[in-house]
Amino acid sequence: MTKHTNDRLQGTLDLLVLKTLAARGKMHGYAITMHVERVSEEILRLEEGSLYPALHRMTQAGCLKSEWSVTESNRRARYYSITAAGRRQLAEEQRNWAALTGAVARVLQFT
Amino acid sequence: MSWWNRLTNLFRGRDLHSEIGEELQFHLDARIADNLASGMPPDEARRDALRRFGGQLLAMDRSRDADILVWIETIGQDIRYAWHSLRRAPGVTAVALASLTIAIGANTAIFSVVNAVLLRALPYHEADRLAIVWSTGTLNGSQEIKTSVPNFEDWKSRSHSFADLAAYREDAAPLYLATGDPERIDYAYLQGDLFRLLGRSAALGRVFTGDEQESRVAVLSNGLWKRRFGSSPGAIGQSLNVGGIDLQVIGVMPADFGFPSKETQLWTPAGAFPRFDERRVQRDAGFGVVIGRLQPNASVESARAEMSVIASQLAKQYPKEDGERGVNIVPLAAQIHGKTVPYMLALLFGAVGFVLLIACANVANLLLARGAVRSGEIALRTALGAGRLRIARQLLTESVFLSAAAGVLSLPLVAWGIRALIALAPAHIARLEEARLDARVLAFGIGLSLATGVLFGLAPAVRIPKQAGRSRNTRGPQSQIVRRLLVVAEVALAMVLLTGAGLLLRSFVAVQSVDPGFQGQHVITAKLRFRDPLLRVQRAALYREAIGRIGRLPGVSAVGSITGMFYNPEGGKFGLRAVEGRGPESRDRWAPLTWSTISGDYFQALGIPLLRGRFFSDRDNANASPVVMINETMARRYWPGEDPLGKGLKGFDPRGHNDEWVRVIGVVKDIHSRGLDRAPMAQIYETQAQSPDETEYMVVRSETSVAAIRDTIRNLDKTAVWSDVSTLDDELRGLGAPRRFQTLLLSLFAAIALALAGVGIFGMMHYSVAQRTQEIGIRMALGARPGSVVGMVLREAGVLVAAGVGFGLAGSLGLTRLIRGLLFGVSAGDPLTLAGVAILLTAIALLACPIPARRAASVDPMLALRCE
Repeated sequence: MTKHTNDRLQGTLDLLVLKTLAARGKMHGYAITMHVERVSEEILRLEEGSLYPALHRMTQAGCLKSEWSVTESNRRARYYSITAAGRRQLAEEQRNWAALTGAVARVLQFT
Repeated sequence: MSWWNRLTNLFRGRDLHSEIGEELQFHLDARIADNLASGMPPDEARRDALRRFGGQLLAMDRSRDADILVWIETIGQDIRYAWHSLRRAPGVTAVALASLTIAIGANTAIFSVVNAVLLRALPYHEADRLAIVWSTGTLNGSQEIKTSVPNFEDWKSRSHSFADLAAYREDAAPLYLATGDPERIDYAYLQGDLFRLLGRSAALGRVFTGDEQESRVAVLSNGLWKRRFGSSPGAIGQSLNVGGIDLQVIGVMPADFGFPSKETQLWTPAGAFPRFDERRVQRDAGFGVVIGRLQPNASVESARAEMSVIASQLAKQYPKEDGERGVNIVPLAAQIHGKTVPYMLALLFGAVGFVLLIACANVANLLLARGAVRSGEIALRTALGAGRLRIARQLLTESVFLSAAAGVLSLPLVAWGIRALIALAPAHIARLEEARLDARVLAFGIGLSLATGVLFGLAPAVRIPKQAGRSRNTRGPQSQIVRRLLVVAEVALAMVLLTGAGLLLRSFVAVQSVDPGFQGQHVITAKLRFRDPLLRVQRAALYREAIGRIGRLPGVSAVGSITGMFYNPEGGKFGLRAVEGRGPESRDRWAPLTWSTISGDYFQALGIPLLRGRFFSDRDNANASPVVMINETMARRYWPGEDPLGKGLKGFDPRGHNDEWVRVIGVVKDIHSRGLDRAPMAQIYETQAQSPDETEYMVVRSETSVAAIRDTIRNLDKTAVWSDVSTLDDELRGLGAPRRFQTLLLSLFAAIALALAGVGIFGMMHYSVAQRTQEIGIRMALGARPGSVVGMVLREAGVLVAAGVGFGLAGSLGLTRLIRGLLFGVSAGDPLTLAGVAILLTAIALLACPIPARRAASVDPMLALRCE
């Protein structure tokens, strides 16, 4: 997967998606959106228009795999789940995120 | 690679594409459902869902559109997308393609003819500077009179507007070569340096110049050289005889040279003309048609001004010969095309233009209707961030892709159409047979296809993205209005075309039912000539003998001959010098009038009945007092209510030994000698025994074969040339050819227009019903019966057709005036035709309705309501 070193926002979206799928297993796009909103107590709102391009990009990169399935309301939807490569990527993204937030925190704590 | 490119990669596959659509639609729907569940009003719920999908990507896409490289890159994607999108709706695509292919093909084929006949430059050096200089007759208003040799010389020495002047005189006579049968050919005598003036030289050998007026030389056309000399270079130096003159071949022209017409097969200096020396001093005897090359600083107008001054000088100088002569200058191209051919082609071009407009309206409508169906998909793409411009461009790409495909598909149609046009067209349209699918025609076809695509693509491109901005099932009334207007316009255009075709068809039928005044069945016609120079009496004896021998053949019931049987419908107006017992005829009463000379049983061969008096007999010979027969129109013109028998008249040429009165001995029935659609004109018939003219046009009422007649003629005299063999029926058909051609093509185009309009109405009603499924469902739920639903559909179609017919009626009344000159036995505003066309269009509209109406009636109310 390509690095988005100068695009933290993109990285953040990837991180949120990977983490959500790692925690909850198979989900469709809308459920991912809902999950992030609920867990973040509505503070994080995914840009829904960019979610799908991100999902497809990560699927192409092998971090995710997708399959069509049927929802509880009996509608067809595409479900995504995380792959082994995705888990490795998640670990990497989490390290990056920790490094970034740690760095920001240090800057903020400096008086 | 950006997300967009990756995403569009996925768009390549049809299934992938619809999956993405489905996935995103699922997301939107789920959000809307949750919003509704949380108590949002439905409109708000939908807007919120779309808003959340984001505007950021929209901006991103727009900034990418500004990048030209990306723009080019995305065109490829657009075309791929267009291909899939069109494939998804094969019915719509097939109908649209068929309409466009026919319309573009018809336009391109007609253009190829217009191009070949009117637009291409004539094959002469700076052909736009060439002009014909006619003498005119102020006496009877004749605009095209040949110019005498002395006047030509004076024009040449006095005028400064022309770099050079030359003249030609057309003739037709038997051609005798060392080997092979004699044949009759068209050829021309040339005065001055005509070849140099035209800027053409020989393909083989050389041409003659103005200094060789006295040489007995000939230049051959390429066709004659191929046919009679087997394209052999040995033709140069050979001897031949044409019109009784011995000539030596000095050159052969290129294949594209045909001056003054494509039938001209040989050119020789004017000095070879029999007794040309006499012509040099005869100022009152017209000899040739003068052609000039304008000086670079002169225009047709300035030349006309100068030449009219010269003409009035000559009129003063030679009042007896030139007192009633004027000058008229016509650019060569205008002279060759005449008035009727450009008019006919303009008419056809206008008609196919209408067909194209109807096809455009039709396809625009189909695409708009499909846009309505596709609005979900479009909304999705908008939601995905595609800008309105981006969508419009995509839709326009689809349109142009469609029309370009139609342009390609139309090529075989064009090639076939050109062949059909050449085969069907009336003879003697100059350069028509050179029409072909060349680079220019191809460029026209491509340009037309692209322009067509933009034209019919504009409405959908502007409207659909707007519609899609709204939500899926509530479409504004505006697009309905645009589509209704398109259908109304289609019906109106079709109505105009149908009216034009209807009027021409009625005229055609009326012309067909005209009695020509003779019985053309089993009448063989041909031209018979003998070798010049023969004394007049010798020739007259040969013609008499030929008529006698043919008449004795088994199966032949009557034989006769005449100077010429059919006349140019645009021929001039003439009068008589004197009518016995009456003052001179005033010139404003002049009307078409001809003198013809006949021999043998001309009237009997044609079945023209004698109304009064008697036919010519052997007693009416050169020594007897001059007599004529006349037709009914002639009798009515000069002796209304009187018995014309025994009355005396004088034409402008003296007759008899001492300008005697010519007495009427018989009256025959009129014949339509200027074509069936022209009123018969006054005709005077002289007998060969008393006339200086040759009666070369033979008519044989016969059950026998042409070959037997040909053998008889050949046995009579080895130099006889029996040519232009035809039948009277065929000749009559030939006269009607332009009318048949116009009527056929216009009817064909009108039929196409009718079919397209029918498809247009069907499409409109079909989608109208599809869109109003809910409304219909509600109506039916509230107790409306299927019958009233069907009535609703029919009413809607009825309003559209009525509006179209109304506008079409107004248009027809305005436009059919343009074809007034072509109408026969029917007026331009003929109520019967207009009513018939209106009924026909309405009937087609009703035919287009049952399927949509049945669909409407079969709407399941519950299903329809559940849609929302």
